[in-house]
Amino acid sequence: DMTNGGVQGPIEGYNSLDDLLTTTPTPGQAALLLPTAPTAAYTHPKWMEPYFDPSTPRNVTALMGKSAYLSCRVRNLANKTVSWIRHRDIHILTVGSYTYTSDQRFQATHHQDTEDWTLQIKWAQKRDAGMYECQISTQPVRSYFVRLNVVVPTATILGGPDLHVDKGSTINLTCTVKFSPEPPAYIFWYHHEEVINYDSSRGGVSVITEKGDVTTSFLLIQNADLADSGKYSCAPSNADVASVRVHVLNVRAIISGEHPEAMQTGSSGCQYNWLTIVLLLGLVLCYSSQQCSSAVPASLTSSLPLPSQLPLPAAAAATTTATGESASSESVTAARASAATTTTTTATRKRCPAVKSCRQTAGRVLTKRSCHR
Amino acid sequence: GSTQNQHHESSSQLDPDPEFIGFINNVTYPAGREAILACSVRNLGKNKVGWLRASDQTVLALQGRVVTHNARISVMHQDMHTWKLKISKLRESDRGCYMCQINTSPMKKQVGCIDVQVPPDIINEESSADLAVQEGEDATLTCKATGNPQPRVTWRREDGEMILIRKPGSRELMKVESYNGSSLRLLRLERRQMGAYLCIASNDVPPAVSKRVSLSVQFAPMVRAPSQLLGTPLGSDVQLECQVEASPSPVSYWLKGARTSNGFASVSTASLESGSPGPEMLLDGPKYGITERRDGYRGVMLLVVRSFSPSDVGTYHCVSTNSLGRAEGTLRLYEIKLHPGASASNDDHLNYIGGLEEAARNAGRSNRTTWQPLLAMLMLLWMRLSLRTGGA
Repeated sequence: DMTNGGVQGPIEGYNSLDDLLTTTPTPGQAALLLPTAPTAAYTHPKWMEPYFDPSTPRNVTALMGKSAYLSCRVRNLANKTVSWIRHRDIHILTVGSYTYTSDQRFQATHHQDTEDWTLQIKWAQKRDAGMYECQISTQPVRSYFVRLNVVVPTATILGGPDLHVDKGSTINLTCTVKFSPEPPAYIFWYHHEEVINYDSSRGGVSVITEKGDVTTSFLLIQNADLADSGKYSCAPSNADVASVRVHVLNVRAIISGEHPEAMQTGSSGCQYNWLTIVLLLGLVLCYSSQQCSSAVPASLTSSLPLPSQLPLPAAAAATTTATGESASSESVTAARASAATTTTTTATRKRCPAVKSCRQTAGRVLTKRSCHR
Repeated sequence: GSTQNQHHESSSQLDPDPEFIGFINNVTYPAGREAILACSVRNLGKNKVGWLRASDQTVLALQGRVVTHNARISVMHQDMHTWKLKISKLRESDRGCYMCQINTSPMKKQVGCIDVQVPPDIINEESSADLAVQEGEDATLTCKATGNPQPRVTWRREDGEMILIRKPGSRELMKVESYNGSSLRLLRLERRQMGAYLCIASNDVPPAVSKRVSLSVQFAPMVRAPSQLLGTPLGSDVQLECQVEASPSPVSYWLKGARTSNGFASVSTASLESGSPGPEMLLDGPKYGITERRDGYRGVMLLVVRSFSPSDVGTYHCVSTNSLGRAEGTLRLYEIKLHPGASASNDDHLNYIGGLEEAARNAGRSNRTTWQPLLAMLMLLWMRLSLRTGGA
């Protein structure tokens, strides 16, 4: 009975589900529809919750065209149900041993001795790669995630996609074939769509192939010449073609060529110029401050006697004029450094006579009147 | 076997592909209610319908059989056309999207979502408890609430009065019936803002909830005597009144007697020991009736002097004190002669005039102003500015 059930699993489950829909579901039928671990062997205490054995692999690699096996091991399953879900499109694949998806390549198997729930994917395709979830129908749900990788036999030439060799040296190409269930029957090398082998007209060609889990083939071409440049391809009997492009270079010609040196661009002395301007401004301010300090005693002297109130406006006007001159000299300095120096000197010379005349005027009454006029 | 296979192939070729009719309607229900998602299918044939939860890919049901061990989930169908997923006693955790899928190749699916409404609830740990703040400081009443949809928080005063809110950077107090927001910011508190505030959280899912936050604005007592000079005929009863504002509630009492040398009317042992009679604390009894009424931070102190006699003439002090300070009001009581024809003794006349003088002196002191120092400072600044101008 068990053997027949196993052989006709999908069809049997299919019919059972139909029967279930037409009639009222009973616990007996439910148990038959979704078989679980037999309770006759041992009785689980009710407080024991289902859990996953973490030793099963979480990363599975399958060969395209072959069957992939994803497994999860559940302890203390009791009356719960194990489901497999594909995460790519959140598609329910199997519930218990019943295959829900119409893609019959998926099948769930329960091994009672190891408590394994294995999802078999027949004829694995590239699109089957991704994350799969083994789920226990607890509340809340418990999940075990397995990632499936689907690989194809692949040929690879080391050093690609471009290789550079010197003229006169030996071209050494290495082609490796991975993920192959068995070594390839043969590996052909091509140069520009023509098979290249030890018996080629060029001569100096060797092909060495080592077969194993990873099959490796070496192509050696001695005394490389410019004509040997171009596309080289490795074509195993059980994998896609891999290609590289070889460039044969004449190194001596390159070395003898002349290369003009880059012209150096000198840096400008902006900082120096700005520093000079700042120093000149400082000097101008010092001179102006000295003028102000010398002017103060004059104003004090004039303010002491009462009759000297009349010359006060004249002193104020002189101060204003001096300030104006300072401002103009500063602006000239900002414009031109050298011109500013000359202008500053001229301004300084002009100010001295003005100060002297003020002092002389303060000394004499007659001179005061002339200043007033 | 071969016959069955041929039959299966021929039937699959004849049957059209299953397809969905319409869409799964998104639903919104309060927590505790029952939610139903309906998935309509045409030409199901031999294919099967499955339900799962989209967020965590939980397998819920296949056709008419529930897979998950969640007692609140059930499925039903009507003539293989409409497949309904029912979730009873909704919880907030049930919120999310659910997928109905048909096991065609490629698989077809529809998604419908359930939103679970949750009544508002106030988070006590993140909300303000009762506050006691000194007048002039700032206070922020906070009220955080949860629920779905997110509740609105509204503040009101428990007594129905208007909420006084000050705009930042302004001295003006705005009156608002209610304030919307989880944080009620009260700047430079005034005593008028003291009271119980209600935080009301509502989101149109009954019931709304509220929380009471008591705000106590604390300040030193203030005492005011409306009538500082009272006259009454002998033998009659006279009532003295003082108005008090204080928070926290003050301790209030009446003193009778003149001020001591330190300027405060107080009962002290030193005063008693020295022999000079200090102010006397008045007690409720046959001679004096002492009552106090309080309403919030306002209160009234009443002292009734019964059967007025010449010995009752003098100065009375109403004193109010709390943890933040002390305040005092002074009242003067004098005798009114009812018989103008009777001969007035010089002593009585002098007493009368003395009382008036003392009252006037007190009034003068209370009206003292502090504008003179400010004026002096202004004059000094002006002189300094003038000197600088002259110097320049």
